Amino acid sequence: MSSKYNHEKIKQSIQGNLRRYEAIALSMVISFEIEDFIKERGISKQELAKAAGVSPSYLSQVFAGDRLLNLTMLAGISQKYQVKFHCDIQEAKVESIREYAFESFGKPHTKKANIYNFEDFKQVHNDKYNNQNRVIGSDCGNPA
Amino acid sequence: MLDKTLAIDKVELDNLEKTVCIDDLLQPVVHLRCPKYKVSLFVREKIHDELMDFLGGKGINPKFVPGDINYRYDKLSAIAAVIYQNRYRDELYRKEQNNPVITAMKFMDKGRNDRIYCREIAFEEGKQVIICEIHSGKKNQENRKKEKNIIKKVAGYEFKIQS
Repeated sequence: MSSKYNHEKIKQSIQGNLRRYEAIALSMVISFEIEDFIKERGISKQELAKAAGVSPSYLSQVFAGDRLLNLTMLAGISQKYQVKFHCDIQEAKVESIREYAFESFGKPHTKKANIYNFEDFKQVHNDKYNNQNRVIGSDCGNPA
Repeated sequence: MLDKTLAIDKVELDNLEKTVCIDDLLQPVVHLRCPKYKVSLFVREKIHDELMDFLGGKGINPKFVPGDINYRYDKLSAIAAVIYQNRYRDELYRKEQNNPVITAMKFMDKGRNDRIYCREIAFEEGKQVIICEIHSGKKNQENRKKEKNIIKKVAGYEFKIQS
């Protein structure tokens, strides 16, 4: 039986909706940071939902990638737990900068890195990985 | 004697499962991976077409618009974000209890409960996640005989690893 969809066809279909998938990726990255944060602080997902001003089931859908995080939710979390979310914009073509960042931070899995601002990296690097500020970005994960 | 050994080796090599990298299908998410610990997604060559059909929406409810891959690709994007960040999240991608190198991607939406079982092969500098079996329409919360058999099957695969 021949396949109706092939590798190339799927690839082409994705091209038409990159914005949607990028949004999912962004929402997921932020949710990873929030997940780490609530684990560190021992906050339950129910409490988090309340702080974010959404129902627990809505929050579950966000964590399951079925809905996107929105700024009102972040504002609620920020207000309740007195934390700040940072966001920096930089050119997308930054593979080398990302590499620099990860090199700077050395060991994977442990340090938080902000992938969006090169200057921040240098600053944080110079501060000997002082991670007082919670930054939204990319670390190398947290193998369970 | 030597020839015989070589012949056996060749047969064994021929029996190894070949894989196809699908990172190129995850362009919006793949940048999330860490260059210092590279995670890549592969699919067993024998089920590559089946996976493409799955992503194309095969088996999804009748409301599905043919050709619209969003139903499953949305979910795959979220799952891939977890995988590329070398994480696990119960709702999306988790290790199977009985065998930690076997993992399951969960496609639970639109009234369906589909699973994709994977094998994780870890190296010093990264890991490969190989999609091995697609299990459509899981009926129970817990793993029943059918799921256990699939997990056993996935655990038995041997792969020809490509870099």
